[in-house]
Amino acid sequence: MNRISGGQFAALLLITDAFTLFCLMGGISVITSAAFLIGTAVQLAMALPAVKYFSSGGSLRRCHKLYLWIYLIYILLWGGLLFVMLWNASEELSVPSDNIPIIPEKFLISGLIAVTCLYASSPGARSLSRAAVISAALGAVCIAVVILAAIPDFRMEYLTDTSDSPGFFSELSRGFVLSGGVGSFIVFLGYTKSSPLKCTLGYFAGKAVLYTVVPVTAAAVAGGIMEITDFPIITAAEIAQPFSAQRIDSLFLIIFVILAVFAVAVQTVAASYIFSELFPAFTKYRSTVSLVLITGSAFLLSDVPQYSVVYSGAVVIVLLVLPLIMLVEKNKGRRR
Amino acid sequence: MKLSVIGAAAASVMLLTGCSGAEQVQDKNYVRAIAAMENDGYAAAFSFYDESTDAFSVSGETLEKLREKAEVSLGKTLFTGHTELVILGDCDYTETLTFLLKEWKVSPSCLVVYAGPYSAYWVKNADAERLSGSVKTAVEQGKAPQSDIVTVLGGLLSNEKTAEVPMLDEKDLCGSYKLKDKN
Repeated sequence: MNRISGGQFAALLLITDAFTLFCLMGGISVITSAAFLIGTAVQLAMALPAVKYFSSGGSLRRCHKLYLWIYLIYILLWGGLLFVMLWNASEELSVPSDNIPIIPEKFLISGLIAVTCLYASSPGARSLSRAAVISAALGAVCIAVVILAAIPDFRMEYLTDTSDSPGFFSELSRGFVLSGGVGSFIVFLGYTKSSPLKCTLGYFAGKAVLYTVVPVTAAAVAGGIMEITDFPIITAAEIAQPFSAQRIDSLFLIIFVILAVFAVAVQTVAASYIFSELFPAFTKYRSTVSLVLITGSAFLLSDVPQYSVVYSGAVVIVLLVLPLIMLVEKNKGRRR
Repeated sequence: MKLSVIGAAAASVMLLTGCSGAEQVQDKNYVRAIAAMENDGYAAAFSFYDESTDAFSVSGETLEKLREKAEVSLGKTLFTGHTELVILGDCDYTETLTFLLKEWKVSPSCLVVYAGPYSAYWVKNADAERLSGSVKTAVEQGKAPQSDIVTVLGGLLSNEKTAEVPMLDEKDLCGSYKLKDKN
């Protein structure tokens, strides 16, 4: 895999985080924002063994095959979960598509996104990361426009109303589930041009801003109707209405679809990279196989609760436990 | 590989997107104002942006059936996304407004007023543009409470379970009315 810059690294990962945040289901409050912010800080601390591992010359190529298998399975399942989130959110968003009687609309949309993902991921990480910077910039502009448009609808009393909040630790766990992109974080961290620590700090700083500003805005705008809101971030974008003539502004819709494409494409590229390490002779159709497996895992996970604590546990294993074991093994090998 | 991917993407774009299956503007009725009330079941009256289409009343056992009935009678589908005024009669306000926002997807900036027994009369006889303009001006002048559907629903779903909206009598705007959640 070609090396990527710190900005490209952050863009690839933040796109996935933004997409999962847009698909967030259930009520949110200022407690959600606080839990997400603290969760991001905890994840940064948890990422330090991985940073140390890659800074000291470690690489996924040299680690035990079992770990590669775990990362591969995790990334494929997380890619599937992204599709599940997309299916759920497409019930709220009216994504325009042609009616084909035999294909349900959500599968048609997913199919088109999968084909676009295949096109985006085939040239590899470098092309995808270059395009990701442009898409992330567009996403940032969209979020800024929606937030600015939402300011007149801000109600500070909604921020202090935490009566329906499930509690800090539930929100912390939910924030961990949304951070499932840590599998690709580990894969791409070994291929950054600048120091892994610098890239990690840059990425988590961006994530902290994203995971604080967006939920706070959504809670301040849609807090009054949180009880009847399934997707609070999408609802907040609808209420903000930068262009008053439209039900949900087309800018948000376009960015949502772009983020969906990139979020899945990032997992496809990461999975196809691990395939290349596990099976060096497997040179063709890696992206296609990865995407097919991701789609298959989406069907497997479609009935599993989206915010299961099992996913939070998987994030801890992938982000902290495995890199820690890899680091210990590497240091032991050096002493021998 | 690349050619086949580009081919598949191009074919998908041409066959599955675009406007080939879309409805034409003239095949839809764009709803401007809705009156909602309960009268041995649910009842609603619609007025439209197209001035050549007369206001239309319909009743049914459920809110879902109102729209189906109206579409069958008018011979066109209804588009409620640009609705700018909801005139409430006597009904379950929370249920009705939640339904309008979530299912019929009326605009979040849509205004809500209370007209009690006169709701259908206002939809059928008033100029919805002038009426919503009057409400907006009254809100700006502080003579009427802010009454967009999100604010009103926020009040009805709050601990107080009430929301204040502008009120219409048989002649004009006449102060405000306190809606109370009926559940």
